[in-house]
Amino acid sequence: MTEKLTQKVSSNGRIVIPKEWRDKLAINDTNLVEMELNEDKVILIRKKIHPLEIEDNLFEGVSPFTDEELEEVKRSLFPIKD
Amino acid sequence: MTEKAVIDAQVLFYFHYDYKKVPLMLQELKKKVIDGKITVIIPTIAISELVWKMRKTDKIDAVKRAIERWEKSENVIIDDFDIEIIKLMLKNIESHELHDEIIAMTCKKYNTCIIYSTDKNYEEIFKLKLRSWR
Repeated sequence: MTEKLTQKVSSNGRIVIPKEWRDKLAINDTNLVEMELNEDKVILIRKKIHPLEIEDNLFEGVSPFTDEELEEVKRSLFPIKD
Repeated sequence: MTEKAVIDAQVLFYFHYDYKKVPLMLQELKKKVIDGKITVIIPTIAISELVWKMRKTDKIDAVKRAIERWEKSENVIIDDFDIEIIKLMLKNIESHELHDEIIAMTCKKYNTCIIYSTDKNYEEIFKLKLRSWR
């Protein structure tokens, strides 16, 4: 679904993203937005997503490091002769 | 000034793990990175440890994708082990476990004393401020 609205642009080019849209996209004053100009006609504004925000559980099915693994990997980097 | 901290391989793992199973301290850390309230430094040696672990579980492609994301991330610095770290190591009189020493000297390189890890050596030997989730 596409929602549209018309807004007045201020003298220095500012526009306001409506609160309802900000809430939908969880945009607050710590976020950045990316702007894209298409074909010299359309401006697209997109919430900038930090790559760490992608919650796709890349390491699914793997268990966190155990203490034994941490020791083993250290020995693997710099082997010590017992 | 934005806070800086070095993170170990366990933290790298938790950055891309099931959010509900991630320790609260590391959930908060991730949010602070996203919000630009902290810059984390990833020593390449920590990435190599993650590669070692994930290779055992045939998840190397997941590591490749994770690295691509870190490289694109604001407030994330991937630090190469380099001569600057060796020069900092030269100031240490005693020999230490090389892995721990390299990571501790990475903190020095970035003028921070904060490290996210569970390894008490960083606090006891290198006098760093350990942020442990255990």
